[in-house]
Amino acid sequence: MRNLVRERREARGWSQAELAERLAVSRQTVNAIETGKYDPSLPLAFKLARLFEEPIEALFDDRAE
Amino acid sequence: MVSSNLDTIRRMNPFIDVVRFTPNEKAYYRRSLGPLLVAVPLMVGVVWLIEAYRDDWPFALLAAIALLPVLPMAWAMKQYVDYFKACDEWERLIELYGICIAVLVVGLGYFGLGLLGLMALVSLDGTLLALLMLPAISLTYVVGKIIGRSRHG
Repeated sequence: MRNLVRERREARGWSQAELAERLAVSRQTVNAIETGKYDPSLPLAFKLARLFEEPIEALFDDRAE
Repeated sequence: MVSSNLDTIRRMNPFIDVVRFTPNEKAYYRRSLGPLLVAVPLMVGVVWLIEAYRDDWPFALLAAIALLPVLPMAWAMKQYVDYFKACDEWERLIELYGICIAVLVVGLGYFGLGLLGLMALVSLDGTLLALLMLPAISLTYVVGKIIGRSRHG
């Protein structure tokens, strides 16, 4: 699933480690999500959406490869 | 600035995350040292005690002493359960890779060896095989985690 997590994070000037700390996950988890190698669970996707103040569908696109 | 440079390096070399420990893992490996440090001298002590008093002490006492190294192993397993509980969802996925691959490979390997033994094609030492089970699971668990991380890391 394509996502805009990296773009949103970089727009805020956060490192992966900083975002990971805000989400209470490991930095590797953030990296796996950003590279599209791991799709987060619904609770984590909601957490991301709240953090970036955007709806989930603006962050994640299940129609894209 | 330093963090963002690190992110760039990671992007250029995705293999870094396959081999780098998460903070959770680091804490777990540190905690696992305790049981290991107890288990090794305990094994040596138990072997010495059993050999020295095999003929003098009753069977029940000898068996209880022989089983003492199970305690630090159980302690190590408790550490693993605590670690697993503290994992986030991606870390749990990687752990499941490790556990599944370990159980499947070791289970199949032991089944295959059992078949070879049953048909009397090879002579197997059951005691040695039983002792090697945990190390075999540990080794294949690490391989499984590397596979999981290279797919999802």
